[in-house]
Amino acid sequence: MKKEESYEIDGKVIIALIKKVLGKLEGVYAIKRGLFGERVKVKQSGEKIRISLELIIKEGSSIPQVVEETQEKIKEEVQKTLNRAVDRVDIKIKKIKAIS
Amino acid sequence: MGFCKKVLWGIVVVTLALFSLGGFLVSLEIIPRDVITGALTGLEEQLLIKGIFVSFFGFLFVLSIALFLSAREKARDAIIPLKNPLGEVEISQKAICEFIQRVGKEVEGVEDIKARIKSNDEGMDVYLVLSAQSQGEIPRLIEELQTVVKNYLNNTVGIENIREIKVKVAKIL
Repeated sequence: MKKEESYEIDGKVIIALIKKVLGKLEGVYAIKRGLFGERVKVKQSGEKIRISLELIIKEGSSIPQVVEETQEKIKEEVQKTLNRAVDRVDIKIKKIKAIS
Repeated sequence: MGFCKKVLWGIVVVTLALFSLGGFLVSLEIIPRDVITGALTGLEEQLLIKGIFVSFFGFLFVLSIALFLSAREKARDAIIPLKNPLGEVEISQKAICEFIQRVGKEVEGVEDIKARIKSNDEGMDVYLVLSAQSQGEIPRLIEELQTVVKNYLNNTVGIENIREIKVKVAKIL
Protein backbone atom coordinates (compact mmCIF):
# COMPACT_ATOMS: atom_id res chain seq x y z
CA MET A 1 0.00 0.00 0.00
CA LYS A 2 1.35 3.39 -0.94
CA LYS A 3 2.13 5.58 2.00
CA GLU A 4 0.17 8.80 1.78
CA GLU A 5 2.37 11.86 1.81
CA SER A 6 0.37 14.55 3.47
CA TYR A 7 2.15 17.43 5.10
CA GLU A 8 1.96 21.15 5.21
CA ILE A 9 4.79 23.53 4.63
CA ASP A 10 4.64 26.96 6.15
CA GLY A 11 5.15 29.83 3.71
CA LYS A 12 7.92 31.16 5.97
CA VAL A 13 9.96 28.03 5.28
CA ILE A 14 9.74 28.60 1.55
CA ILE A 15 10.61 32.29 1.98
CA ALA A 16 13.66 31.29 4.04
CA LEU A 17 14.74 28.95 1.24
CA ILE A 18 14.27 31.72 -1.32
CA LYS A 19 16.43 34.08 0.75
CA LYS A 20 19.11 31.42 1.06
CA VAL A 21 19.18 31.04 -2.73
CA LEU A 22 19.22 34.78 -3.35
CA GLY A 23 22.11 35.22 -0.92
CA LYS A 24 24.25 32.99 -3.13
CA LEU A 25 23.44 34.77 -6.40
CA GLU A 26 25.95 37.32 -7.63
CA GLY A 27 23.58 39.52 -9.59
CA VAL A 28 20.88 39.94 -6.95
CA TYR A 29 21.32 42.79 -4.50
CA ALA A 30 18.25 42.32 -2.26
CA ILE A 31 14.55 41.71 -2.02
CA LYS A 32 12.62 44.97 -2.25
CA ARG A 33 11.22 46.05 1.09
CA GLY A 34 7.76 47.55 1.34
CA LEU A 35 5.78 49.15 4.12
CA PHE A 36 4.97 45.75 5.57
CA GLY A 37 8.30 44.01 5.07
CA GLU A 38 9.97 42.21 2.21
CA ARG A 39 7.93 41.74 -0.92
CA VAL A 40 7.82 37.99 -1.33
CA LYS A 41 4.58 36.09 -1.84
CA VAL A 42 4.18 32.35 -1.75
CA LYS A 43 0.93 30.74 -2.85
CA GLN A 44 0.40 27.04 -2.37
CA SER A 45 -2.37 25.24 -4.19
CA GLY A 46 -2.30 21.49 -3.71
CA GLU A 47 1.17 20.23 -4.45
CA LYS A 48 2.17 23.25 -6.46
CA ILE A 49 3.82 26.41 -5.33
CA ARG A 50 3.71 29.79 -7.00
CA ILE A 51 6.25 32.38 -5.94
CA SER A 52 6.33 36.07 -6.73
CA LEU A 53 9.00 38.42 -5.54
CA GLU A 54 10.28 41.93 -6.10
CA LEU A 55 14.01 42.30 -6.50
CA ILE A 56 16.78 44.85 -6.61
CA ILE A 57 19.38 43.78 -9.17
CA LYS A 58 23.04 44.74 -9.16
CA GLU A 59 24.20 46.86 -12.07
CA GLY A 60 26.64 45.22 -14.45
CA SER A 61 24.96 41.89 -14.81
CA SER A 62 22.67 40.95 -17.68
CA ILE A 63 19.19 41.17 -16.21
CA PRO A 64 17.60 38.36 -18.27
CA GLN A 65 20.42 36.02 -17.22
CA VAL A 66 20.15 36.99 -13.55
CA VAL A 67 16.39 36.54 -13.62
CA GLU A 68 16.56 33.15 -15.31
CA GLU A 69 19.26 31.94 -12.93
CA THR A 70 17.21 33.15 -9.97
CA GLN A 71 14.10 31.34 -11.18
CA GLU A 72 15.99 28.13 -11.87
CA LYS A 73 17.85 28.10 -8.55
CA ILE A 74 14.69 28.81 -6.55
CA LYS A 75 12.84 26.03 -8.36
CA GLU A 76 15.72 23.61 -7.82
CA GLU A 77 16.14 24.45 -4.13
CA VAL A 78 12.44 24.14 -3.31
CA GLN A 79 12.13 20.92 -5.31
CA LYS A 80 15.24 19.43 -3.72
CA THR A 81 14.49 20.44 -0.15
CA LEU A 82 10.73 20.14 0.05
CA ASN A 83 9.99 17.78 -2.80
CA ARG A 84 7.34 20.15 -4.09
CA ALA A 85 7.07 21.43 -7.63
CA VAL A 86 7.27 25.15 -8.20
CA ASP A 87 4.75 26.13 -10.82
CA ARG A 88 6.23 29.52 -11.59
CA VAL A 89 8.49 32.16 -10.17
CA ASP A 90 7.29 35.65 -11.06
CA ILE A 91 9.84 38.40 -10.64
CA LYS A 92 9.43 42.16 -10.65
CA ILE A 93 12.60 44.20 -10.83
CA LYS A 94 12.12 47.37 -8.87
CA LYS A 95 15.60 48.82 -9.01
CA ILE A 96 18.99 48.43 -10.64
CA LYS A 97 21.52 49.17 -7.94
CA ALA A 98 24.83 50.82 -8.79
CA ILE A 99 27.66 49.03 -7.02
CA SER A 100 30.71 51.22 -6.51
CA MET B 1 7.94 54.09 -1.32
CA GLY B 2 9.54 57.31 -0.13
CA PHE B 3 9.80 58.38 3.50
CA CYS B 4 7.24 61.21 3.13
CA LYS B 5 4.75 58.86 1.55
CA LYS B 6 5.22 56.33 4.34
CA VAL B 7 4.61 59.05 6.94
CA LEU B 8 1.51 60.23 5.06
CA TRP B 9 0.15 56.72 4.83
CA GLY B 10 0.92 56.22 8.52
CA ILE B 11 -1.09 59.35 9.43
CA VAL B 12 -3.97 58.29 7.20
CA VAL B 13 -4.10 54.75 8.55
CA VAL B 14 -3.80 55.77 12.22
CA THR B 15 -6.43 58.53 11.88
CA LEU B 16 -8.81 56.22 10.08
CA ALA B 17 -8.28 53.48 12.66
CA LEU B 18 -8.86 55.89 15.58
CA PHE B 19 -11.99 57.37 13.98
CA SER B 20 -13.50 53.98 13.24
CA LEU B 21 -12.49 52.46 16.60
CA GLY B 22 -13.91 55.44 18.50
CA GLY B 23 -17.17 55.30 16.56
CA PHE B 24 -17.37 51.54 17.03
CA LEU B 25 -16.82 51.73 20.79
CA VAL B 26 -19.33 54.55 21.20
CA SER B 27 -21.97 52.78 19.11
CA LEU B 28 -21.57 49.61 21.21
CA GLU B 29 -21.72 51.84 24.29
CA ILE B 30 -18.44 50.42 25.56
CA ILE B 31 -17.55 54.07 25.82
CA PRO B 32 -20.78 55.57 27.23
CA ARG B 33 -22.24 58.34 25.15
CA ASP B 34 -22.61 60.38 28.31
CA VAL B 35 -18.83 60.43 28.66
CA ILE B 36 -18.47 61.83 25.17
CA THR B 37 -21.24 64.38 25.58
CA GLY B 38 -19.96 65.22 29.02
CA ALA B 39 -16.50 65.73 27.64
CA LEU B 40 -17.92 67.82 24.82
CA THR B 41 -19.90 70.08 27.12
CA GLY B 42 -17.10 70.20 29.65
CA LEU B 43 -14.82 71.84 27.17
CA GLU B 44 -15.50 74.96 25.25
CA GLU B 45 -17.89 73.70 22.62
CA GLN B 46 -16.98 76.15 19.91
CA LEU B 47 -13.32 75.26 20.18
CA LEU B 48 -14.04 71.56 20.19
CA ILE B 49 -16.35 71.72 17.21
CA LYS B 50 -13.70 73.73 15.42
CA GLY B 51 -11.15 71.09 16.38
CA ILE B 52 -13.37 68.30 15.09
CA PHE B 53 -13.92 70.12 11.81
CA VAL B 54 -10.22 70.86 11.42
CA SER B 55 -9.25 67.25 12.12
CA PHE B 56 -11.97 65.85 9.85
CA PHE B 57 -11.14 68.06 6.90
CA GLY B 58 -7.44 67.77 7.68
CA PHE B 59 -7.83 64.03 7.45
CA LEU B 60 -9.62 64.34 4.09
CA PHE B 61 -6.87 66.65 2.86
CA VAL B 62 -4.12 64.25 3.89
CA LEU B 63 -6.08 61.39 2.31
CA SER B 64 -6.39 63.28 -0.97
CA ILE B 65 -2.63 63.97 -1.02
CA ALA B 66 -1.86 60.35 -0.21
CA LEU B 67 -4.16 59.13 -2.99
CA PHE B 68 -2.61 61.60 -5.42
CA LEU B 69 0.92 60.48 -4.50
CA SER B 70 -0.12 56.85 -4.76
CA ALA B 71 -1.62 57.36 -8.23
CA ARG B 72 1.47 59.25 -9.38
CA GLU B 73 3.76 56.58 -7.99
CA LYS B 74 1.76 53.89 -9.79
CA ALA B 75 1.97 55.81 -13.08
CA ARG B 76 5.72 56.25 -12.65
CA ASP B 77 6.12 52.67 -11.62
CA ALA B 78 4.46 51.17 -14.67
CA ILE B 79 6.08 47.96 -15.73
CA ILE B 80 7.75 46.57 -18.82
CA PRO B 81 7.26 42.83 -19.30
CA LEU B 82 10.29 40.76 -20.32
CA LYS B 83 10.02 37.42 -22.08
CA ASN B 84 10.63 34.43 -19.85
CA PRO B 85 9.36 30.83 -19.84
CA LEU B 86 9.76 30.18 -16.11
CA GLY B 87 7.31 32.80 -14.88
CA GLU B 88 6.30 36.41 -15.39
CA VAL B 89 9.18 38.84 -15.37
CA GLU B 90 8.60 42.55 -15.18
CA ILE B 91 10.84 45.50 -14.69
CA SER B 92 9.62 48.83 -13.40
CA GLN B 93 9.87 51.87 -15.66
CA LYS B 94 11.32 53.82 -12.76
CA ALA B 95 14.17 51.31 -12.45
CA ILE B 96 14.89 51.59 -16.19
CA CYS B 97 14.79 55.40 -16.13
CA GLU B 98 17.16 55.58 -13.16
CA PHE B 99 19.45 53.13 -14.90
CA ILE B 100 19.45 55.15 -18.16
CA GLN B 101 20.24 58.31 -16.23
CA ARG B 102 23.15 56.67 -14.46
CA VAL B 103 24.55 55.18 -17.66
CA GLY B 104 24.03 58.45 -19.55
CA LYS B 105 25.94 60.48 -16.96
CA GLU B 106 28.97 58.29 -17.56
CA VAL B 107 29.22 59.50 -21.16
CA GLU B 108 31.88 62.18 -21.45
CA GLY B 109 30.34 65.57 -22.06
CA VAL B 110 27.05 64.81 -20.31
CA GLU B 111 26.48 67.06 -17.32
CA ASP B 112 23.00 65.89 -16.41
CA ILE B 113 20.30 63.77 -17.98
CA LYS B 114 16.63 63.03 -17.33
CA ALA B 115 15.03 59.97 -18.85
CA ARG B 116 11.44 59.02 -19.57
CA ILE B 117 10.16 55.98 -21.41
CA LYS B 118 6.98 55.00 -23.15
CA SER B 119 6.30 51.42 -23.99
CA ASN B 120 3.59 49.57 -25.90
CA ASP B 121 3.27 46.36 -27.93
CA GLU B 122 5.25 47.80 -30.84
CA GLY B 123 8.28 48.76 -28.80
CA MET B 124 9.81 51.26 -26.49
CA ASP B 125 10.52 54.94 -27.00
CA VAL B 126 13.10 56.65 -24.83
CA TYR B 127 13.04 60.40 -24.24
CA LEU B 128 16.14 62.06 -22.88
CA VAL B 129 16.54 65.65 -21.73
CA LEU B 130 20.20 66.53 -21.73
CA SER B 131 22.40 69.14 -20.09
CA ALA B 132 25.67 69.03 -22.00
CA GLN B 133 29.09 70.49 -21.40
CA SER B 134 30.03 73.18 -23.90
CA GLN B 135 33.27 71.60 -25.13
CA GLY B 136 32.90 69.04 -27.89
CA GLU B 137 30.40 68.55 -30.66
CA ILE B 138 26.83 68.17 -29.53
CA PRO B 139 25.69 65.95 -32.46
CA ARG B 140 28.55 63.54 -31.75
CA LEU B 141 27.65 63.52 -28.07
CA ILE B 142 23.99 62.80 -28.83
CA GLU B 143 24.93 59.97 -31.18
CA GLU B 144 27.26 58.46 -28.59
CA LEU B 145 24.62 58.79 -25.88
CA GLN B 146 22.00 57.11 -28.05
CA THR B 147 24.37 54.24 -28.83
CA VAL B 148 25.37 53.76 -25.19
CA VAL B 149 21.77 53.80 -23.95
CA LYS B 150 20.60 51.46 -26.71
CA ASN B 151 23.44 48.98 -26.09
CA TYR B 152 22.84 48.97 -22.35
CA LEU B 153 19.10 48.45 -22.76
CA ASN B 154 19.72 45.64 -25.26
CA ASN B 155 22.52 43.85 -23.46
CA THR B 156 21.96 44.53 -19.78
CA VAL B 157 18.22 44.95 -19.41
CA GLY B 158 17.28 42.63 -22.27
CA ILE B 159 14.94 45.04 -24.05
CA GLU B 160 15.41 44.57 -27.77
CA ASN B 161 12.55 46.42 -29.39
CA ILE B 162 13.69 49.98 -28.86
CA ARG B 163 12.06 52.08 -31.56
CA GLU B 164 13.53 55.47 -30.91
CA ILE B 165 15.77 57.38 -28.53
CA LYS B 166 14.84 61.04 -28.71
CA VAL B 167 17.26 63.51 -27.21
CA LYS B 168 16.40 67.09 -26.33
CA VAL B 169 19.28 69.35 -25.42
CA ALA B 170 17.95 71.60 -22.70
CA LYS B 171 21.16 73.24 -21.51
CA ILE B 172 24.75 73.74 -22.60
CA LEU B 173 26.97 74.54 -19.66
